[in-house]
Amino acid sequence: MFTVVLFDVFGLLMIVCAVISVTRRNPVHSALFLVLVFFLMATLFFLMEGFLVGIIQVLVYAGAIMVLFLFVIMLLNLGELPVRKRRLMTAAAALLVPAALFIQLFVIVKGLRGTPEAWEDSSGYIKVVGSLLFEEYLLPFEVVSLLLIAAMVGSVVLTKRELKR
Amino acid sequence: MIPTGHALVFSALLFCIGLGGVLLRRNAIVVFMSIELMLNAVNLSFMAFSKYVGNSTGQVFVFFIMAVAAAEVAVGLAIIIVLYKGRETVNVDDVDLMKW
Repeated sequence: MFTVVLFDVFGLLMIVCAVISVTRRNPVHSALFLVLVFFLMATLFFLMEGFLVGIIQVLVYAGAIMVLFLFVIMLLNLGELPVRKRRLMTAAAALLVPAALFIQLFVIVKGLRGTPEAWEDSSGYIKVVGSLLFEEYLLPFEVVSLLLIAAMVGSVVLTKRELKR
Repeated sequence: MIPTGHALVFSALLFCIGLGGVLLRRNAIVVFMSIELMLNAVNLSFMAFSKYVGNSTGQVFVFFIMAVAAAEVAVGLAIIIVLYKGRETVNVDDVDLMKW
C-alpha cells in the first residue's frame, strides 16, 4: 500500500516536471527539468522492482544523454528563441492530437483486468535480466554494440565535415 | 505490488506531453528532448507489462531501447550542430524545405 502511494506521488511529480520541461522558453531550464523527469522515472522503475533498468536509467539517461544535451545547448550558446506569432489552427491541432491520443490510451488501460504477478524467477532480479541478455538475446546485444559504433562514427563524420556553401 | 494501470496511465500522460512538445515547440533541441520523453514513456509501459506477466524479457527490451536512444541522441545532436553551423538557427520553422 505504501509503495503504491509512493509510486503515485513520484509519478505525479514526474508528470509536473515533464509539463514544465516542455513549456519553458529557455532550453537550459527544459534540460534541467528533464533530468528531474529521468530521475523520477528511475524511482518508478525501482518501485516496480526493475532494479537493473532503474540503474541504467540513471546512468544512461540522467547521466550521459542529459550531459550531451546540456553540452550542445551551451556549445551553441542558445538562449530563448524570439517569440513569433503562431497560427491558431496549428496550436489547436497540436493540443488536440495528444489529448485525443490520451483519451484513447486511457480507455484501453481502463479495460485492463487483473493484478501484476510475482516475477517468475526472482532469484536476484539483476541476475535474471543479465542471464537473459547474455544467453537468449546475445545476438541483439552484440548488434547494439555495432549500432553504437555506427552512431559514434556517424556523429564524428557529420560534425567534422566542412560545409560547402 | 504496484497496480499496472497506474504505471500505464503515467506512461500515456508522459507520451502525450512529449507528443504535444514535438508538435508545439519550435526549438529543435526542445523537440528532441520531447522525443526522449516519449521514448521514456514507452520504457515505462514495457516495464509495467513485464511486471504484469511476471516475465523479465520486457526489461531486456527496455535496455535495448535505451541503447538505441543513446545512439539516436548522439547522431541527432550532431545534425543539430551541423544545422546551426550552416544556418545559424535551431528554429524548426526555418528549416522546412522538406516539409510539404
